[in-house]
Amino acid sequence: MSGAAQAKTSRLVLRSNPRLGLALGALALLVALVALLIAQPTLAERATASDFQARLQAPVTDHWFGTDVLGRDLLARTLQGLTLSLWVGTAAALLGTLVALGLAALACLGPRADVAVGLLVDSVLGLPHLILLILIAFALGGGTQAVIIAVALTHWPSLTRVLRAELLQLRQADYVRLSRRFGKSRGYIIRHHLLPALLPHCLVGGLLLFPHAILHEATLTFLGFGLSPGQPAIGVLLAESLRYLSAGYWWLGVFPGLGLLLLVLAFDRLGNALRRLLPPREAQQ
Amino acid sequence: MLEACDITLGYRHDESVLRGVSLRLAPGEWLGLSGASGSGKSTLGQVLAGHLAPRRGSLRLDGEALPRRGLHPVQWLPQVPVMAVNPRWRIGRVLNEAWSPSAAQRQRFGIDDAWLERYPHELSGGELQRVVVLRGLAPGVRYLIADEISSMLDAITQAALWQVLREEAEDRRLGVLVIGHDPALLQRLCQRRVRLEQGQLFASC
Repeated sequence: MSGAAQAKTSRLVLRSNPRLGLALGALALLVALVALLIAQPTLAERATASDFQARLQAPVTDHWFGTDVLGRDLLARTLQGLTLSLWVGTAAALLGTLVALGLAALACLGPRADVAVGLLVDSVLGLPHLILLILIAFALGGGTQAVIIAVALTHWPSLTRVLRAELLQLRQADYVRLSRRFGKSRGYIIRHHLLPALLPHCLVGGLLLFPHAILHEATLTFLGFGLSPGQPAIGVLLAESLRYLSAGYWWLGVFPGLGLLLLVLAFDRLGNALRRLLPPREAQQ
Repeated sequence: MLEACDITLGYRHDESVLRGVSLRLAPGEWLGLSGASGSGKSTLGQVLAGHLAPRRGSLRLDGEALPRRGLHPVQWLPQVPVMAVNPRWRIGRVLNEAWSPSAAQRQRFGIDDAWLERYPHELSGGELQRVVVLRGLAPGVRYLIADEISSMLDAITQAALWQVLREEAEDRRLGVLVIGHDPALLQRLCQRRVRLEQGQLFASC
């Protein structure tokens, strides 16, 4: 096929498959965001440099997002906060997914293990989410590590349920039983049948965990149990903005909030698009 | 010789689908198994192929217990082929999971080379059934449990599938247990026929 024909086919595929377009759009947004965040260290100096001549300045050419009460550039601070959120979200979502996968595998070992995991899932789901989150973060003494652990330890139950159900179903699937009768080892079946089937669930579950993780990190920090006030986390920026919002300094809350919303939406869209695109049958529809 | 002795199995503690079933299948023999829906034909087939463990009774191959590891010498060919293949794998990979059939063998089973790059949902039931049957014929397999493998196929495809399977079984002296509802088909294919009723086997005319 010639280059022009290939380009035409690609355009046709994109046009005829809106979900693929959606996924690519979300991916492009994420790439832009990550690129921006990578370039962020050059803005780090501006994030901490105070300029008392330019205190609480509304958005202008020099400061696109305005400045805060100490005259620090809000764009730089928002980007720094989003970088922090991105790391916290990634680490917490990854950890939460691994916990969910481990417990789902444990549940498949036998009826007793299954009951034990089921009880654990129900117990954690039965506890008030935010209070448990605060308690864990508080017990661990706050800080980035504590927030990651707290978010990861409170966000595995739903994904565990999904993975456990999928794994139990897969183990009894005809093609898995046949594979065993073909003499394939347990390791082969796990690598070639079970994990590839679970991977889309893990990926989507992890991606959908990500927005939760970021929002809870911001919540914890906002409530004072998360990251230290010295760090320009989104939660810290939002908590600071509350004191000045009533005085009309809207940019202090709007821009960090919008940045957070954009990041959360991008991951949410990407997760949903991937969920629909990963199975071969649905990807072709 | 594949022997099942006193096989008892149920899905509930107080009920048994199979009650002391005993069966012998010789190499090269075609044995027909019929019975009403829910009578336990597929359950018996799956016990013979090692997919289900009986509550009581034993299975023997040439007087010895069936191997627990490696390729199982008794392969189960299921009724619904789409459930028997990994939906995420292309047909080429599915076909080569147990062994690697040659191009000539693929051709004998009417498997087109173009199918190898397709996913299972891109083949019809009949096409997929041919893939599943050929996959189950790995070297080392000595008995086949054909569990209503042609019930979803049209008459011409049915005839073609049984013809090629018959030739393969004759070449390799494979014992075949044909599970089915169609008395005419069982009569045509099998030297001996049995009927499963109330969890027990009866000789069929």
